[in-house]
Amino acid sequence: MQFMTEVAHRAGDSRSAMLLMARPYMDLEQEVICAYESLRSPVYLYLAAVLGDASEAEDICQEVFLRLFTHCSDHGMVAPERVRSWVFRVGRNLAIDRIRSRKSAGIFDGGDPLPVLLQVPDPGVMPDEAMLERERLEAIQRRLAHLSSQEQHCLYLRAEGFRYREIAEILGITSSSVAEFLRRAIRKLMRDSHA
Amino acid sequence: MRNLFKSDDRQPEWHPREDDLLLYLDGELPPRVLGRIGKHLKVCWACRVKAEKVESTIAAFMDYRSRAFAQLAEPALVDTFRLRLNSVARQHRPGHSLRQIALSIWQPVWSSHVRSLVLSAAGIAAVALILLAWRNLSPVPVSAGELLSNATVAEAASANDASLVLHRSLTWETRRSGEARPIERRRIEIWHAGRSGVTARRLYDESGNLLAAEWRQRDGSSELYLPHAHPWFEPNAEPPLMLLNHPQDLWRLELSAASFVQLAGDASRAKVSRQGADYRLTIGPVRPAGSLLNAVLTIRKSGLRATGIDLRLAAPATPASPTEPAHPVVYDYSIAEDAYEQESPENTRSQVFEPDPVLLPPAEGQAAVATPDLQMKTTWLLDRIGATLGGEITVTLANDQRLNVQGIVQDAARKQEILAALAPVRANPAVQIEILSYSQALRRAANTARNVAGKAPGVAGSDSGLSAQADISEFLAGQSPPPEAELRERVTRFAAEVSATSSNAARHAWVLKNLAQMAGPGDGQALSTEAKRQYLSMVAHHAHEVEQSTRRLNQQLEPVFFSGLPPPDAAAAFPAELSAAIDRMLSAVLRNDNAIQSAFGISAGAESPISIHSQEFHQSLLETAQLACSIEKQAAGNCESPSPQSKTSP
Repeated sequence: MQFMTEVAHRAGDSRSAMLLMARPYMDLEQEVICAYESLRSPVYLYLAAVLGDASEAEDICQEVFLRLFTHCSDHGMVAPERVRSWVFRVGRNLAIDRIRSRKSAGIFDGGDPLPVLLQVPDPGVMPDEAMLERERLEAIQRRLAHLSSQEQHCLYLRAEGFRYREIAEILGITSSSVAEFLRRAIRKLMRDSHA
Repeated sequence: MRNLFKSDDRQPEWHPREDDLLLYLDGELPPRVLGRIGKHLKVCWACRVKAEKVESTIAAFMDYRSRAFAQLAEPALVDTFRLRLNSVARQHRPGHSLRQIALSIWQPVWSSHVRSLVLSAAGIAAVALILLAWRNLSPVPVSAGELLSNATVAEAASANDASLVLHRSLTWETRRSGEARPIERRRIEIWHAGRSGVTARRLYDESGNLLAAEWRQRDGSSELYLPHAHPWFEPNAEPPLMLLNHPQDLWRLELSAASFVQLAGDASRAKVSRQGADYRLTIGPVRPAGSLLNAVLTIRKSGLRATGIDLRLAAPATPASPTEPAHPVVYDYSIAEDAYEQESPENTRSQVFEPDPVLLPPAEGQAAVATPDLQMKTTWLLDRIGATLGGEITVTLANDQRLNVQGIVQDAARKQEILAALAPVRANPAVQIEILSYSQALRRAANTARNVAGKAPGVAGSDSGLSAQADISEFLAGQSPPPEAELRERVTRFAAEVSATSSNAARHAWVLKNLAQMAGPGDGQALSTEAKRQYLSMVAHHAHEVEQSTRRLNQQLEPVFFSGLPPPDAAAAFPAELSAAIDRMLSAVLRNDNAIQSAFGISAGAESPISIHSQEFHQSLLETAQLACSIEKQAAGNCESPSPQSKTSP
């Protein structure tokens, strides 16, 4: 119970947290479903970003939570404060496996990490402003494509609110490496933007 | 970082490193250093600007990220996930409880005072026994979803490997349910080239006679060959579910995990079992409302390749007598892999990707000289998707005896549609196809610095310029007196409708004229039977359209212009030869159109020799409809002779 309440709190979902506290009993399946409800969006978005494919991201996202179930079933509960980084770590590993299998199948086109439909204008924006906005977004998309895989992972995980120590745990590297990858990522984005 | 500690931030020459600014902003520095940099930023504009640059870069990235994410679809609903989880939980629980028992036995032993005995042989034996029991009794460690997903990836990897040609030999058997002996056995040979994405599939009977074949392209389009018949083109792959409606075509079913998923719908419900070197996924009843009762997919563990599929289908049966209810007959269809080979493209005989001679239509050559048959077939293919209308695509015989298929179409989608329709003749060296979308044509024109903005013929149409406006206004005002503005709008709308109907008749009449010219003398005597059939079917279709449009014109105009006129005479005799009849009909349609456009002030051309008020015009309309009907009847023999009453009644 404490486990999922913590998850919901950390995901910023106070409503889910209250509901979770009010429930008298939940078996493992229900707990995993609650974890899925609370965390599926950030995990899915992270996977979509690193895979560049929403449907694959959705497939892997579900797989992550199925593995949470089998893991808890076999090894006991994951500590509440570690659930979030656990699902991101497993998601990252599955995403890397998927990218490897795509490469071996020769169907990975090496395109942008997160293609965005830049043609969608914001309502109420003047055409010239919309044009500038579009150019700005296209520039960011181009620069992101030049980041290494680790730099992208660090950047998107940091954007999810993870601290360097947590990112290091998810990626299986040291905190100083995370700091270095993030420095490089920001430097690349910044250098190009001021070129 | 150490330099930072050694430096004194109050000295003007000291500044934090640019890299440390990110750590400072992220709060990832020790508190003491954070405080120092914070203080420094308060007094140093240069460093503050640098920090703001980092902040603005982060802000730009976060903005991009939120926009990108906003365009993604929502992840799957909890209900969808719950189904998969239930399936996993069902498979996992027995193993889980067994393992828990094992752990509950093991842990007290480990924590007892006899820990030293753990190293003894008895302890090791106990561990070995527990592990053995766990391994033997645990369920299959894969879920159906995972298995199908991995098999699909493996299949795609093999199919897309450009260095491979895959050859599979399958046996397809049909049985009445419950009977061991098949009522029919067939052999299916499949060749797939990873480089081109082409799949050639042949169906043989037990004696080795070729019964049918299919050539499927990477885009899903396919050509279906049957002996001594013209190949049939299908622009889209038939979904596996559709094949269940006509089981005789099940030989075209792709033996793959992907097909099984499409057949089974929610494949996560499938039960997974092991059988030697294979996994078997069983699901059923799949769709209670449909014919599929049960489906079993066999996947080879090594390589995760689908090697067999068994389908149980219910076919409705006719009752023995009208009083007895009909009981559906259940058939079992099984497709099983006999052989699987991977070859290099160099070692593969090129003939396997070429249609067998027995499948080729007898009279159609592939020479670089276009035959009248080829021209008619190409036109027929275009006509089926309406690309002959209004000269959208033209099919002309060039001086080099090749067929030029040219046109400028609205957009890329239309272009693709037309190219897909032309697939059966695209490979023919005698056919040259050049179809551009408007944007492509404009780009090409811009590149050659030519002005493509052609001058449109003068169009003098305007609301106030209709020469027939007085009549129409009088008629409409007589029905229910509307306000002036509304009356003007209705007059304009009426004129536009009449003009569109007339133009439609003219467009179809022009297609007929082109077809008649293409068919040559004697109404296509030089054409093969198949080409002539195509010619006549097109003639019947367009003549029908001319007739319908002309009748509609009559209905539209009669209340306004023909009310005081005497009824028209019966039609005179029409030419017996189709081409002569078509010529006469085209003249009549153009004369009528000219009268209408002139009366409504839409054409800037010369005034029409006949007035739409006249008996002559009324007569001309009816004769045109009768002539069109006669042509249709002659071409198809399915048009009823119209009576003047039926034609003039609204």
